[in-house]
Amino acid sequence: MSADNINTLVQVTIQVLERFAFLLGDPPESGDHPPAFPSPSWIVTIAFTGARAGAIGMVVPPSLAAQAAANLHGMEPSQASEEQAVDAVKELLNIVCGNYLHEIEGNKPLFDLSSPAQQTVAWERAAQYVQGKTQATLVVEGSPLLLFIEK
Amino acid sequence: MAYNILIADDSLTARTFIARTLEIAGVPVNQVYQARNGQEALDLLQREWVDMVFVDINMPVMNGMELVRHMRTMDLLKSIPVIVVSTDCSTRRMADMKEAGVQAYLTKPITPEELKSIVEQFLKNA
Repeated sequence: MSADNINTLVQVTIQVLERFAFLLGDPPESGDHPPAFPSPSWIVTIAFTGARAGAIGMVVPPSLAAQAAANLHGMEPSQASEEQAVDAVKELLNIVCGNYLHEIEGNKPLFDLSSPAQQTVAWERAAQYVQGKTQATLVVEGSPLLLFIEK
Repeated sequence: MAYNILIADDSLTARTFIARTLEIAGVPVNQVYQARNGQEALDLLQREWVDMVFVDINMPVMNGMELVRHMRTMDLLKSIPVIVVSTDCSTRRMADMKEAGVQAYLTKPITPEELKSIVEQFLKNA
């Protein structure tokens, strides 16, 4: 996967965050460090097969997932259940993946997407998991969001 | 006239997003029914009057394609407009779904404008 693909993934994610979850995200300003991830954080992944096989994923703080769920359900983040937050980030990644594949491959190839999977892990474990993968970090409403491409 | 709408998607978030988008778009809705898969949708369609169905493709138990194929063989259900709302925007998938009998295909994330346009197009004479 090239740098172009991670840049495409970043741009698609920013658009989907805004249009789907009403969240504003950007890459960190040049020279700035993104906010630290809380521990535990969530790893969410989705795989695809077809014209090309691979997977993408994100590491997301549970509080950001709750914010996404709250925006989607029209409630306060403190009212969002963990089930709603997990479902929100899974659906978010599902939409990101579909739009990402469309951007890099066009609309002719056929892809099958897996059901998104989510795990709660210590931040150190998440950092270990994404080590060596093509990755980029966004700052979304003051929270970090790490995107990665499996292959 | 207010419509009865069925949303079939295995994600609660996706169902909620479509329901809220209908509201934001100002579509007159009497009742929004929700189903987590095609089988639940089919069961509900045999109990309740529904004017339009929004359906995802990838769902457990019975997927969107199977649901549409079942609906098109049933007298009471075969003329209900079905709109696919999916992340999959390949031309081949769209062609397959249209051949199965769906009226239109929207790519997630949908906008209120797209939704309103679709409802007006297929329900204006309902």
